[in-house]
Amino acid sequence: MNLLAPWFLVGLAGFALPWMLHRFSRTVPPERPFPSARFLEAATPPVSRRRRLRYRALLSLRWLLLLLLCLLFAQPTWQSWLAGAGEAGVRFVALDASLSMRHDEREVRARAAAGAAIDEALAAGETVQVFEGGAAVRSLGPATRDPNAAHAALAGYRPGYARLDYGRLMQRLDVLAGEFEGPVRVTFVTDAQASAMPSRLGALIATRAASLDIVDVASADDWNHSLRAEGTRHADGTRAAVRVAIDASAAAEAPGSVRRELLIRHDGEILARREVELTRGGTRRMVFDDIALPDRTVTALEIAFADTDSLVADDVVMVPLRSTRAEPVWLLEARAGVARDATVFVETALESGGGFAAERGTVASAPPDDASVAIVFGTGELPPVVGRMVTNGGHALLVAGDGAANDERDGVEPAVRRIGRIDATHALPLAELRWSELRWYELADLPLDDDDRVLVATEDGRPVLVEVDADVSGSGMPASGAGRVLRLADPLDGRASDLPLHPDFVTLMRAIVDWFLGSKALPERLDAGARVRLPVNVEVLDTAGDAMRSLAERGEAGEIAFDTPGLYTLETPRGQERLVVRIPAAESRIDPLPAAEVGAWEARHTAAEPTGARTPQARGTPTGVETATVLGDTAYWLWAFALLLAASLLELAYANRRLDVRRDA
Amino acid sequence: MTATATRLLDPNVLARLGTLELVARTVVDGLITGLHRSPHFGFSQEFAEYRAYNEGDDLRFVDWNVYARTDRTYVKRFRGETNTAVMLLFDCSASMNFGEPVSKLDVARWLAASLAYLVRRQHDALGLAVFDETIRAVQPPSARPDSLIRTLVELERSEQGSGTDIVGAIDVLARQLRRRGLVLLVSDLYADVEALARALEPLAHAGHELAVFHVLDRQELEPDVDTVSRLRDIETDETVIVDPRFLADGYRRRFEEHLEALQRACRRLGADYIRVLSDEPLDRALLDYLNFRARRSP
Repeated sequence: MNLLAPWFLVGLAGFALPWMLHRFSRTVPPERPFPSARFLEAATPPVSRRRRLRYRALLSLRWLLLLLLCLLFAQPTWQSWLAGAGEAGVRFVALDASLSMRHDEREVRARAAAGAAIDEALAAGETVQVFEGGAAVRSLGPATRDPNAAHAALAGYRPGYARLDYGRLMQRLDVLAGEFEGPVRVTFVTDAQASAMPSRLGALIATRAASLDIVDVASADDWNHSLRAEGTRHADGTRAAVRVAIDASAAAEAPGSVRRELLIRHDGEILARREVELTRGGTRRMVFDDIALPDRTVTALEIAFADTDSLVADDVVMVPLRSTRAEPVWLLEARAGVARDATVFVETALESGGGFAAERGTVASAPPDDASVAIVFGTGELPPVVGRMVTNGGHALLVAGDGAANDERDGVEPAVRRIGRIDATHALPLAELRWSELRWYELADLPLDDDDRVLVATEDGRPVLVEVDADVSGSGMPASGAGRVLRLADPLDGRASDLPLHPDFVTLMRAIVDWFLGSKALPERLDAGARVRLPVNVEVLDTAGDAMRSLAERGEAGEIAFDTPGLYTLETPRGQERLVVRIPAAESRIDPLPAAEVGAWEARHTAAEPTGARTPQARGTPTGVETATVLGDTAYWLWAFALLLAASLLELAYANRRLDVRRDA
Repeated sequence: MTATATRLLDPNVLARLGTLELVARTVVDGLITGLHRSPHFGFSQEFAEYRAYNEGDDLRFVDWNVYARTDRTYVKRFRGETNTAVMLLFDCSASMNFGEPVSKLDVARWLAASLAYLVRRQHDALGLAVFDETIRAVQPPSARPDSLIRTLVELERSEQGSGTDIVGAIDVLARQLRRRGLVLLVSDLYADVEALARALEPLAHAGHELAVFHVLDRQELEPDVDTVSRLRDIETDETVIVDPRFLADGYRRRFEEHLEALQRACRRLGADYIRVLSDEPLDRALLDYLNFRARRSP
């Protein structure tokens, strides 16, 4: 039995009070009239002060009452007793199935630790259930007391490629623990990776867990490096450029730096190599800008380390070669000269990394051949010529004209605005930009329709970037169109805001054009473990070139999971596209969680010592742990108060205040 | 005894009646009615004795059967004609005011009133003496028609007294009673038995027939006390803390000894001892009186 508030047992010292009352009290007995005292004889105090039986019974009853009161406030864990005599509780054995567990011998050590935890729990009479946590938290088998079944469940453990969020895991275990009557103890086998911590630390606490035991299977000298890369094909198709970023992370006792050789291969043939020194905790960027391709049909290259580390999955990446044929982007001013500076900024951003060719024009001119993207400056309205482009499947970015200076509006508006809201769910990689470093001094009004989608807004709610519903009529938009339209409240003249001057402006503009030109449904890159909803008539080929969806499934929209990193092919009505499923960058960072934090995480559950009830209700305990409790168990309170009431009624019924006992001489 | 009569003699029923006269009439009439209807009735209220025929006696009362057998003329004499003097000694001391829901004093009052009614019904002379630690009132035996009323009135207004001095009261009354008759003592007899016997002896020696109606509450016989209690003497206010075990054992033994001593004393004096419990109907007590009357009438 556990006691949530054992200090209330101090009340048991009150046992002395009824004992003293029964032992020494000399209360006056009640008076009754009697005809004559001639036949009466006064009782004398007994020599031994021996008590009558009912006084002992009454004393026992009062002690029982006091004991029940103390236990009630001490909050014992009665649930396991109530649920079934002899049941020791439940043990959740949860294993980290994220990518990092593939590192070195972690998977082997995790299996061994989990197996030992299973054996220990079964020996203690507990019921065991095995879970793994990766992209999702799933049970590997039902709760069981059969050792064979438990170990068979453990055999199904396989670390994947996804990132595990510890908070999501604990919250899921918390929900599952509520399905059991008895106390639920959690043994979590993991590599205690710092990058797996949730943004909200409160999610780490499973309120229904009676205890948490974290088994760290990482090694103190672990080292990991990982690759990220992009590749582009030159215009002639015979050469390519590859940009590589290498992240290195390590445990405390690992070397501070290592030297590695990076290879660029195609079908086993090494096309380029370079030696690089990697520093723990750092990112090294490299560019291979002139790689001779074996032939023009090469569409992807393999980037890999000559010597892999223990986590091989992130030491090799497949990089699709994007065409370097510059996509024409039509830049046009609503009025001549209205956005001279903005045009320069955008032109520079698009052409700086290659892949786009900006062509200037006006609303009166015709769009360039093959141009499917138009950036219109100085207006929030679609010029007719651009409207026709959008109608025919083109795309447009409308850059507002000069915005009003913020300080010319009514005095309550701020002089400087910052970004306060970002739609991170949009296909544009908006969350990757450093919006917090930007300031707006002027901002144009962007009237919004109900179907418009605000992608970026300031702290005071002024929209900055809006995706317009191209099907809306009556606002200058075509009644129906296959293209996309974005509106930007920033005139991009360099004076209204810091945006055109910030390095991320290039990323933003290229991302917008990429999105315009990319698939309607899917981004170009996904993290392993992601689930994506595919539109109709999109076929997905896995890394081996096999179809992932059946013919019937292709005929309807559906969801598909990309668990394995690699290069996927999408067959869409617009043509073939490549999708890179990459390892989550966070998973490659194997920096360990400090031991003190692990200990504190465990201690939070030990201090709480909840009873595993179904409905935890946080009621403050003296320790202040908000998740300490399971006092909400109705059955417990019903039993406790029923016993208390019965004892009180008995005491009232038999209470005898005449505690002075005399005995006939 | 019929159920109606018995019911009418139940102290709980009597407590709801109004005047003492009504109580007495109800009790006696109910008793007599029951007696007459009982198949075991064999007690004659009318005929008392034979006496020799004197010239001028009513020939209707000559027992010709006796004459036929004995050639002697005898006349039947009825009880009503005996004109016995009956003296009621009524104890209204403080100790009599004990018992719930009906106190001993109430029961004694009803008993005395019933006895008075019965006495007058039998045309005996009725007298009353009320006492506690002193003699509160005395009415010499009288056969006057208002003797019953005066007795009932005196009984009605005799409230609980203070102490008890049965011995002293009997001593005084014994000197006042010159005419032989019946002496009916209605009391709870909380006195020294020997002293009481010595007080009653002169009456017995003077030829008075004595009947002692010992009025008790059941709590005196079987105290219902289960916890240590302080018992306060009603007359002296003395308090005694008693153990319920003593009340169940020692007290009962002592009280039984006292009762037995009283009975022995009464037998020694030739007096009838009739125990009257306050929670029992009065019929038995009255029947005992009637039997006593039948045996002892001069």
